[in-house]
Amino acid sequence: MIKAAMIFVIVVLGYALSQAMSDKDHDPNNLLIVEVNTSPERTKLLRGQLDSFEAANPGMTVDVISLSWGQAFEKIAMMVAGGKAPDVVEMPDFWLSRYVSAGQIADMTPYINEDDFDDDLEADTFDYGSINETLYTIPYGYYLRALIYNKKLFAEAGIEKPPLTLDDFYNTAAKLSELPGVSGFCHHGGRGGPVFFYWIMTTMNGNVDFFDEAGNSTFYNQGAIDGLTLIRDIYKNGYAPKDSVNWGLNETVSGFYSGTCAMLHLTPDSLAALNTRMDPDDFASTPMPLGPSGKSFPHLGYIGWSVMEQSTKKAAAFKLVEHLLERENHKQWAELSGLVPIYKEILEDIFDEDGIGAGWLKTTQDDRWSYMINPNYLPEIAEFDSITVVQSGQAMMLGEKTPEETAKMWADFLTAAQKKYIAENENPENESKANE
Amino acid sequence: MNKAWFYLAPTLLFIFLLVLVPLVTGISYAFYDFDLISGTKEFVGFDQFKRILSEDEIFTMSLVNTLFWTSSSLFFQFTFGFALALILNSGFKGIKFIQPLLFVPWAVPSFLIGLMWVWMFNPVTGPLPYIFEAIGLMDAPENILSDPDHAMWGPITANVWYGIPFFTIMLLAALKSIPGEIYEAASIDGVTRFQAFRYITVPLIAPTIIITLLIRAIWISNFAEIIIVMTGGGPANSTQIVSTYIYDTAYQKMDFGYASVLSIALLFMLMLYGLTLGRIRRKMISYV
Repeated sequence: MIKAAMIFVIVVLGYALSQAMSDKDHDPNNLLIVEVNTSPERTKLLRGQLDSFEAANPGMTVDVISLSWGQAFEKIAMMVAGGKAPDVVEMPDFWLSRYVSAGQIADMTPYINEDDFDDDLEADTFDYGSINETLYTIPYGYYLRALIYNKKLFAEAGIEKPPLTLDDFYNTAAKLSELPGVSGFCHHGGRGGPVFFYWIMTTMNGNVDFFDEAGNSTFYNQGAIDGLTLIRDIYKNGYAPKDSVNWGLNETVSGFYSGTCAMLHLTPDSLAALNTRMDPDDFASTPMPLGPSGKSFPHLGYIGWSVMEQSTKKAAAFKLVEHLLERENHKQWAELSGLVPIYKEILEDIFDEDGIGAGWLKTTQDDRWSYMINPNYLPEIAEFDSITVVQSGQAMMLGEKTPEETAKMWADFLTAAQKKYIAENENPENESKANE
Repeated sequence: MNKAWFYLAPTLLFIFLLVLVPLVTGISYAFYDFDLISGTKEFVGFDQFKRILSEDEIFTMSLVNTLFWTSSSLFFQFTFGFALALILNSGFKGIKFIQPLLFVPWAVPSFLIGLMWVWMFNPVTGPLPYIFEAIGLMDAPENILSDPDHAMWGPITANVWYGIPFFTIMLLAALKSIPGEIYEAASIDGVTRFQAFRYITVPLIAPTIIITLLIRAIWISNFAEIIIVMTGGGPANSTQIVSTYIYDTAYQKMDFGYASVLSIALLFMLMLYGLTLGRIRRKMISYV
């Protein structure tokens, strides 16, 4: 009898709890935002901006869930699958298509338009966050790539200026490697590294597009194969550390500040880690080297804010997104994260021509550099980027596969994905866009 | 008869709800092309089973790696764990201070263990590459985790460090349960220390040895965290074991159907192993 009573109590409590939770879920004045790329400082800044949102909209409350990057993807997938999706979610570019093709991201077009933002907004901001002409996310900053180099080691090797072309890049790496215990290039061969391959392949192709009109991947073009051969040779000849084949971001950064290697392909948010370890006078940035066509296509990645389709409070959620991207808030955000900001004037404020940001500033202002955007509209891109290219790229660097075989494999994968996409959408969004 | 079923009913119901329902649901995914985010499910029958048998090179590779990973980790964990248990059982002075320290690794979260050892193996931040160079294992201080021929030894080392206390705790408990009188009687009969170990200690703790080996082997082969943190299955799949491959398939490719097929394959292999070891255990006990 006692047991029966206990079970009854548990059932009643459980029911009450689930009711209470779903009440909160249906509270029209409570929003839930999930951030995935967290640090304690950033969470604090975000909380502050949410507080100002609450102050500006009396009665509204916003709760934050901070997920660690490593487990965020599956945790959000679980929340969505369980019907407990947040209202606003931090959305990295390479997840976007998975969620959009699953119908989980709300269309922003009716709620937000470009006129709501200041004029100096980076022109393609809305395009980057769109799939099939529909706006799904607005970037809160750009992970743009530039080349960082160690000035001290350059001077020791007798090299006067950073490499301007890919040929210079190869020769500089070779020359630096003559120094005892130094390799020229900090190769990022583990997860997060594949964009270097895409950069060298498109830059050697002289064409920023991942696909031709018919939907065939450009990765099997001769230029792309030559690009892969070039980086393979840099590694094979010992111009990159032997263990860099499986380096993640942390290892490349520590390799760079310890002087193990002297050039690094980096996004600006990682500069903070270097600044604490190195004398700011000892390193500098320069745009990614130019290819044979006189152009270069450094990768531009982004993370943005999206509103989930399951959200019952879309109007408020979009208002929150707008609030977070509003000029003053965005400036604080950009200063803390170190990312390339979406407003051009803020960019010029933060990235100084004479400072460490020079390489990024030049990349954004000089016509010879255009941004390469991954084909984020392909649902297969996350798998391609985080598994296929990492593992097969390593096999190529280690000599288990030739650059040609590797290029063929990647091209086949992408072509299949692109053709599937074209078949499913009569009006496919076209490849990557340049920032002319 | 009816009454018996009545009394058993709550237990059976619990087993059914908590074990069988999730198991069968999980297995059923194997027959679907299942995408978690959109929730689309399409019945594909045995198509995904064909894929694992005929076209999946990585699966074959990860199978071999799983065997290597499990057997090496198990061998060293057991050997060191047993040795440590024997030392602790001898009851030397100061044991009270040392014993709790030895069990610390067991309490460290596995992700932290992975991170800790990643930095130990890194020539910029860790001492290990220089030690390996000094004792002649390496020509130059390099990161073992990036060498496809030896990368597996990185996670294995971390796993051995982590797993030794488990064997020590279990075997120490078994050793302590052997009555001292048996050794006393044996020493009166003029038995040497080795003979006492061989003919008294080992047979009496054999059931514990077998059961701990069985449990640990299953845990280790399912234990993906350390590898995911340390190498992510790389370089070039050289540290990919079946359970990391399942993780990648389920949570990176979001292909739950195929991940379920892979899990079923792993489940069958582990069951086969369990049955074999169970049989050996019964035989060993009958000797005693």
